[in-house]
Amino acid sequence: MCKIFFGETEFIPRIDRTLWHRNSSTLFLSDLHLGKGSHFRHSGIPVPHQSEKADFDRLIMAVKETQATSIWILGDLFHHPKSITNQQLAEWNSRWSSLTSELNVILGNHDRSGEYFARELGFQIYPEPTIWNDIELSHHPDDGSQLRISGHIHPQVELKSKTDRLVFPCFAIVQERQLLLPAFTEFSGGPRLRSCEAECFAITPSGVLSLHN
Amino acid sequence: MTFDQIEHYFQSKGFKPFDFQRTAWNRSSKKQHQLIVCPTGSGKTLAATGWMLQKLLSNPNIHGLKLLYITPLRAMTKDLELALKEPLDGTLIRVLARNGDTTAKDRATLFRRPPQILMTTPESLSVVLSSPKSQVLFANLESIVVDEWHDLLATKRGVQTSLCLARLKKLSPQITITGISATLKTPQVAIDALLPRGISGIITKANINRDIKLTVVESDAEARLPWAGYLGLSLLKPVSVKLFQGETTLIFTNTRNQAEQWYQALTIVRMDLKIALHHGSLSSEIRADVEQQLKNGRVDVVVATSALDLGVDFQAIERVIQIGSPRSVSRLVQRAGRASHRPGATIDVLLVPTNRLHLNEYAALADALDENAIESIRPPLNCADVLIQHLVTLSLQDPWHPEDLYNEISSIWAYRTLSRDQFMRLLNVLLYGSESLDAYPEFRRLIRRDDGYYLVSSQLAGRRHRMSIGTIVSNVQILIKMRRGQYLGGVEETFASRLRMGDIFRFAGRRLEAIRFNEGELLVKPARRGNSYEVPSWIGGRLPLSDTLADRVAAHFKRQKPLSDRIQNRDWLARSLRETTESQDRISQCPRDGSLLIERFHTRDGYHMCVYPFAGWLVHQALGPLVAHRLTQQIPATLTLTVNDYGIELLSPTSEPLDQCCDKWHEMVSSQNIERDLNKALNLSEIIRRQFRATARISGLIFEGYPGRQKSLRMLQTSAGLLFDVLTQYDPDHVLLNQAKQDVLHHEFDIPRLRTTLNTLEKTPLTHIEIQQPSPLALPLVINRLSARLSTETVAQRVSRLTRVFDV
Repeated sequence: MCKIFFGETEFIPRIDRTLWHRNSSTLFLSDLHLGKGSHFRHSGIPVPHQSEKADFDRLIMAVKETQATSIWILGDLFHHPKSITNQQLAEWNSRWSSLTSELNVILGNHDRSGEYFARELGFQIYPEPTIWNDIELSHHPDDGSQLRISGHIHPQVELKSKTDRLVFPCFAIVQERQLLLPAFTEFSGGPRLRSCEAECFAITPSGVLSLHN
Repeated sequence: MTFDQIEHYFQSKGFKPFDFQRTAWNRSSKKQHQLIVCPTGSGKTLAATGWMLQKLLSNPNIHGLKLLYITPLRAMTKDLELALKEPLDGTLIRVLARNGDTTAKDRATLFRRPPQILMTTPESLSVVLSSPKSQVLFANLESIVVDEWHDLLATKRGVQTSLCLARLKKLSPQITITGISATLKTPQVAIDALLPRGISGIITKANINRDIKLTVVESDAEARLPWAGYLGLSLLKPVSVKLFQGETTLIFTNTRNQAEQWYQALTIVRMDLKIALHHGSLSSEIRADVEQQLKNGRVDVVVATSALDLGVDFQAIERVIQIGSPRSVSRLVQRAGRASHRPGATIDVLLVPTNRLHLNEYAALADALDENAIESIRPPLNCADVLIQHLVTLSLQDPWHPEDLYNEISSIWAYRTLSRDQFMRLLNVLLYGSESLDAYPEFRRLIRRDDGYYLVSSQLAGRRHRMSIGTIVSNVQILIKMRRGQYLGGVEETFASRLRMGDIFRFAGRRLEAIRFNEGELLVKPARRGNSYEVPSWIGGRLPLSDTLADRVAAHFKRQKPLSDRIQNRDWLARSLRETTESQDRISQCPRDGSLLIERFHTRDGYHMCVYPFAGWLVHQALGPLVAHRLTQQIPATLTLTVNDYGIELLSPTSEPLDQCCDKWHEMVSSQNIERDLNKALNLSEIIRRQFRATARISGLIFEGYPGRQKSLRMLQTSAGLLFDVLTQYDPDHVLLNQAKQDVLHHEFDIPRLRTTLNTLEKTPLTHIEIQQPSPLALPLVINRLSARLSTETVAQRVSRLTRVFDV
């Protein structure tokens, strides 16, 4: 199994796009973008609604497998809070309340005016950044000097040769002090990192692969 | 009816109307619809508008919009406006140009104080039609002129134009429609596609013939011609000595990158000349400035791309040079027509090969000109995406009822086979997101009122729609802005994202230093020091070699037939062609009639197999995936496919799949189950994914404004690739995925010709040859890798090989 050593801490990057910290039984993820498909559909862009269902199924499976006691979402829990309907909120509520883990969130740029909905879903809201085990948790990456885990970027990595090319979402460590999480939702794109820019962990269908020499 | 006013105008300019112009005026005055077929630069605009101008000049107090002039080129509307204004000088008659660059003030004037003549592009016309006020504006319209119809016709812009014409015909039943076109192989199709059903028209042909002579720039020991390559700068010196002060020369290139590089090179070797650069990514101010200089003859050389193929005539041009191959006979005729405006005069075009195989294309070009063979146009049919866009446009103009609208739409040639049932299914896509009614909860685009009329769901949706009208799909452009505020034009995002601040690059013929990114704009300043710079390239429409030329290249690869005498330096060309066949014979062998050549070799990249059916890019583009798919059905493989106009290359990391391909070649090219296999091949390759971007953009699924503008829409931005992935996964039969597939099958590929090709290949024996190095024919395939991938291996297998290659 692939492991990430970040500072003194050992994490496991999971194929379901979550980051698992075994010692504290904590699951990290970011950029869930709840309601993205719905917002698109509302504006006349046909995004299949099964996509969000699949995201939820994957999350619930991750919690089931790890028995996580605590979940951290590092921003962009929602896509566009202004367009959330009561029906959506009820639907999500039934999904989240099936989990017994403690729910923590740091709000991201997409979550503007989403505090109310986050609390309704049972989340504890934390400021950006919040210190956890000497590591900063935040939505945005920064130029500071502390170790920091963040979302926002939706990193992807390209595996390429003269005869083939594949793109996967990835975990990435930049300048040894910044750990970037992949977007949890499958309905998201993102920039392609080069192996010289970051140490990447590609999430492929057959497992997480470290692309570090 | 007399045409005294317009005849008087001709007299005042010191010339006489041509016969075809008088014929056109007479026909217009009898309210006949027509297609005027004539070469560039022979007075087509005045032929089409003369009758209306006469009418306006004799009743200068006429109010309201009378003449609508539709032209494909935005940049040219200004020049056309000036050309039309001239005969109306000194009267109160107003001409207004409405295009994407028109200011908000002028746009408002259009409805408040309509001009008598409006000039516009198909896109801007759609935007005007999306306003409820357009119903009054067009109510008394008398004449519509569609310029460059041959150019619009071949694309979805033509479909959009004819949809607009059908609506205009409804708003103003008395209109006369006049199309203008260059010489066509099948003018009847062009006029059918122009006119809504129920009205017929006649073809008015100008009998103006221009003889075209060709001169090929000669390479020698000093200026050698490479086997592959597109830039052609090795012939810079022999080209530069053909340029003279005071003799305006137009140099046509095939890509914007090539134009930038030639411009740069020429300014260095000919500092005595005034040289300008013109291409579609330059800002409209810069282009307008160059066009103005060209018209006044104040410039010696203009390096241009196809952005200057069409449009008004520049009287001053003396000479035309073509870099590389024009790829089709009609493009050469069009470009040649830019020069020399004395009817009946001979035009001498200078051809500059950028690789040796261009010489074969030049010989074929001359043959085709001798035989008067030009390419036929295949207009797109039943485009769901264009129709979806138009239906939303019309609902913004006025709520509509499906019954009325079906009649209007099916009166258009491109939709004549659209059944009522298919139409109703498309309406479901607008109401519910797909043909099935419950797949997309919360979806809304159009809503249906209780009385059965359809309207747009919200004001925001309307605004968003107006901003994305059009069928031209280009990559997101990053605007290049000087520190002082002048815009130079745009480069593609992929190029801009590679730049680090302080990097030096060349654009718009200048050396620029990147300062910083700001809201989707790249701020630059003139670069002072530093040599390393890049020239941006743009992903543009690739120009495929036409079937007319491909057939002739294949038939005479080893030339027996004497070269056409329109080629001025026949002896040199014949000698050079012989050298090509000798080299091919030395390394491999020349393709022969009655046998198909397959070459195999091994390089650092992997195992190569090259086949040369000489069937042209459009056929090879389909044949390649077809063969690759059939092969991967028999043996799991990941193949990289490269095609060009002469052949196909399969590249594989192992040699087994290619052994298999050669052994069972005749199974691979079987003409059985073409459509089925091709459909499956397309699912495996990335070509539909690429095509889907256009479909998604046209039907309004993705919004691509300039980045930084319209922030409210940011939350709706997504990439077409992502949308393609979720749709393929959860709704693989979605109508727009099918549209993308249809576009690929019927417009990107040429299925009927593919069938003919397969019928021949099935019976043709193979000549299989192992070679040590790529042959002259293989080199362009190996070097210009414009590839598509096709794989039936599992992702895990591919990942494990990729990571092995990476040495991880």
